[in-house]
Amino acid sequence: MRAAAILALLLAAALPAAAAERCTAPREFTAAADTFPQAARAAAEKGRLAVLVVGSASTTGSGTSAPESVYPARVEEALRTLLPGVAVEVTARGGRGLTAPDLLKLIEGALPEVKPDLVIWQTGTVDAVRGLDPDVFAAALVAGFVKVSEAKADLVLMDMQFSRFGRAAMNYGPYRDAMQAVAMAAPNGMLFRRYDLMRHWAETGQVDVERAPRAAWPREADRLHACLGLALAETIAEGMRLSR
Amino acid sequence: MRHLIRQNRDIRVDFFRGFALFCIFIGHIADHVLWVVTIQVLGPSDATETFIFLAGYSAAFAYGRALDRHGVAYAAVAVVLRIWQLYIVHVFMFLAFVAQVSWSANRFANPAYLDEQNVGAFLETPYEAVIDALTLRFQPAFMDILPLYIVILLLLILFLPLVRRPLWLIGVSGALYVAVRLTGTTLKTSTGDWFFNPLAWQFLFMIGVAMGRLSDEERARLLRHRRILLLLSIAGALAGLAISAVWRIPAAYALLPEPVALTIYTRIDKSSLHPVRLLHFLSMAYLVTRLVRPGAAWLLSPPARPFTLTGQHGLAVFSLGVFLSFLGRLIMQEFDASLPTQFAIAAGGLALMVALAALQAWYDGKTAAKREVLAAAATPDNRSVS
Repeated sequence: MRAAAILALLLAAALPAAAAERCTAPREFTAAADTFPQAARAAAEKGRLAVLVVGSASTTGSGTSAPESVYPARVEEALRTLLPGVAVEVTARGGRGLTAPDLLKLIEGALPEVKPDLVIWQTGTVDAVRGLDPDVFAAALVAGFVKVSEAKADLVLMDMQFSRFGRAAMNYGPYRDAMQAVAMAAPNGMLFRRYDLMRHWAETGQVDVERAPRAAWPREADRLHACLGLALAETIAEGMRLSR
Repeated sequence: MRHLIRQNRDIRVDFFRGFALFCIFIGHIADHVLWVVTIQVLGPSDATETFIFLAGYSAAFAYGRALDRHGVAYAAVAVVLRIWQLYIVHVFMFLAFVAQVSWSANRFANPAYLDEQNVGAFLETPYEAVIDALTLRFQPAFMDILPLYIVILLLLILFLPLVRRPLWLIGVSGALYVAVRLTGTTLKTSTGDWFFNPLAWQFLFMIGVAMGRLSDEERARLLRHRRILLLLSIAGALAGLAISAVWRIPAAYALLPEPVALTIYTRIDKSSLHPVRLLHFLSMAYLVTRLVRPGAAWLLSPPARPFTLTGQHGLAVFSLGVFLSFLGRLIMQEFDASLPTQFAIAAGGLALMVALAALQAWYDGKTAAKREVLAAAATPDNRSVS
């Protein structure tokens, strides 16, 4: 298993970058729906798309080789390609150790300033790690949806990173369920299933940050964020098309 | 294995308790594929309800007998000894968790997992963590069911005088449940609320105790309207299936009007045993008593034996199961989580649970035999027949 992972890494290092940044996943993990009415309207009518990304450490850039390698930057890059003629602007906010209620305050503060058409909210990890009340977590998500909807934007929730250690030592279940429930109930919201995607990539040996040798950590994190950014951008673009 | 199973009792209880213990073992291994054969797919209530109810039902016999023969004080001591056993297991599980986290911390130092690393934050203030663990306030992932059981047994000590009056027990326990549901009262951990609110869950346990203690007249009165009860329980079971579908299948969710679907999805809490979960469990329990006759042959068939046997040694198997889940999570962390590994974990775990139950049954059998020999020697006229 480990030998295979190392072999995959060596192969990945030997191949040109294009091959390394393409990750495949079952359609069900990235399928979009018509839940992006505001983003679609902004792109069609104003020719612009302002995206606000808020989250904890994995959003503000832990582990990658450079700030430009973090997924919000990758989303921006990919959306500009996928939505020709639309001025895409991505703003990322957040920090290590921020819970959903913390991030909710951050969103409230950023909404009037950034005026986003779409908000990507990465959360759940800190809440699960600290074992905070899942009901408080869910209530923060609902309040976030209300705020974002009032500000005429759509919302994508993004769940935890997959890691084998995290799976063994944290009980993500109730928090993932809450995110799924809240996203499902909102007409302008969806859940981007990062956990399932990363798990699939790790199990198929495509991207495995946790088992990469120490020297390869930043490079593997870069690949992860590239794959995530692309998958997220493709999901958003498809959702906007379906919402038109 | 068959001869190790005691049959001088209602072995339906044993089978379902054993199966619930297996479900709890699987349910505490995140991402384990066999959750699809656990009780939870049938509706809102799951193995936790089955286990707690049957724990209460069995307690009615174990402590009820002590109560009848030796009085409240003796029965209270018997419960305290049980609590002590569970408490030791809880402290052991805390140590195992500390070992896992500190051992993994080094390899998990990758900055890509900065937020996840906080799970080891308690190691920076071990004095607080140890005190919290000893006072049941430290409840990291999957370490919540032991504290629940411990506090329920503590409450049982308070309720012991009522055990002889089962309907009073249901009344008082139910009043506490209603009060807790209405006021939102719960116990605090070091970071939030208890995942399983024992003040609410005690009701199900005490219902189990009461069911085990009902007199024949009370039972007959309760079952006077068998047909209505049967219809209600069928309706409850079907409603449970529908709720399970809404929870797990997006298409089923979409079938219902949005507010209804959302309510089903978000309002049925497990923490304080939502009435829907309680009613679903009681429906299922009643259906099972109607569908499965006492002493039904299949309960001793080879596929059922592992569960019937483990169910007869609930406390030991439950404690082992909590640790086996931990080992299962560790294997999926350190080795792999492929399907063959997951099946091996399930089969190995069940085998170890059966082995423990078999050892316990063999040991108990020897002890009982010795006691009979001693009793026979002491009173030669009153020889035991068995």
